[in-house]
Amino acid sequence: MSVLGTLVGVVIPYVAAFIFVVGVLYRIFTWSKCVVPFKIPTTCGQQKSLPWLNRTFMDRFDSPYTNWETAVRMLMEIFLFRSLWKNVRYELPAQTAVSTKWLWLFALTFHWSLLIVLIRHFRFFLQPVPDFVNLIQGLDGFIEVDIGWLWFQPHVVHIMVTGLTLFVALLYLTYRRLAFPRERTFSLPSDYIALILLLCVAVTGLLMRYVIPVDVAQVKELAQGLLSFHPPASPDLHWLFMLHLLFVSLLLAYFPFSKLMHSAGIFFSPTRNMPNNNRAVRHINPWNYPVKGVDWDEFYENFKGDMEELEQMGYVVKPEEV
Amino acid sequence: MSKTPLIAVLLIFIGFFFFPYFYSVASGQLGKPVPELDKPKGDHCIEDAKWMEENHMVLLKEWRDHVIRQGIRTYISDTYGTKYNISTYTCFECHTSKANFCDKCHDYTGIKPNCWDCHVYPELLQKYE
Repeated sequence: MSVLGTLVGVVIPYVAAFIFVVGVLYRIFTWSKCVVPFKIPTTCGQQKSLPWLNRTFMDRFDSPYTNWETAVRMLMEIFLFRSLWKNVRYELPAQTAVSTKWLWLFALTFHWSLLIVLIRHFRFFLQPVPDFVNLIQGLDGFIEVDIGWLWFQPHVVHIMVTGLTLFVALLYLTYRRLAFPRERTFSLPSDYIALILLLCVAVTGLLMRYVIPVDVAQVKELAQGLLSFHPPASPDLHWLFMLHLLFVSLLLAYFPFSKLMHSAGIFFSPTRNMPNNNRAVRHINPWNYPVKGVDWDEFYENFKGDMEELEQMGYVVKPEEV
Repeated sequence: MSKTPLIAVLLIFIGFFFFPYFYSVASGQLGKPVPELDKPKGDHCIEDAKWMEENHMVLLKEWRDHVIRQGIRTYISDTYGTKYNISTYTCFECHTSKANFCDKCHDYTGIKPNCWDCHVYPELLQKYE
């Protein structure tokens, strides 16, 4: 176990964290340098126009005019997934688009659960454990379940709701790609890899929580050792935790190369992060090359023969008065 | 592209990913190992000490079921074969402090067991005896 312990417990997490940080920073900076040639916000509300054209309150965020409105729209997109809320499915016999909210519901559940689960994991990385983590843990675990099954929760009584909702949402998101014909068609291997990795992390985590308990004090000691850059030489922890750590490391290392970068990418979406003020503020295309232009004398010199011919035909040839 | 999204993403990324490091540095307890516990009285625990360290909650839950649901008040140690009365007071005979024993690891890992919602703990007992 010792060599394997060092590899999985120390080397791989450090390498993965390094790839994660450098990779994410690299992608963020490359995106931020991207040229945005046109102002292309996607809108679905009445844009600010003539004063007598009424805009509803939501129009201000569906077709934002100021930076402030754009920021609010971004926040609603990030925290509520409003564009998924508008998801429709095209019904063939009726030939109508029917609104479907299942993707929105499970995507939102998954992301919020993941955030809360991540914050709960702060208890291993923060020393001392701060009150807000304790509070979130307390709220998350407000359901006490005691069924009496021997294999289930041999050591605890609290159910962490977000852990289970995370798992259920992940299962739906996988089921959706596998079972729905259209989703199955456009699903690529990379779509499944992200889901499989997340499922592996969730399953090992849930197993540790509910079926095979591991010594969390040792886990925290390892986490603190890694965090302080004084890791133990060969951590010898429970195999299930090592598996969990390995999957998390794989996920971290895979993150910058994958579609998981949408977490940063959403901020850089030109269709979302620009105000719809095309008519009021000119958007300069950075690709525009400088146009030197030609003045009258040069123009006349270039086309002297034609000009003189025109003059002989009786036309007045003179510079345009600006 | 405007620099606003870059700044937002950087703040969130650095804030979330490096927060544990800065927090632990600020608190001055970065890399704290498992805290040292008070040495209990007595020769040995009711089971192997190492096993107890990892599985005391399993045993306590089992004890609760034995007493409350099945009315069994005697526990025979797997390791030593001795009989013990199933009660928190049996624990308190050796483990005389909650603050210097239980709480240390529980605080370290952010665990809030609900034992003390109902049960007395040694300090409280000593105070009223």
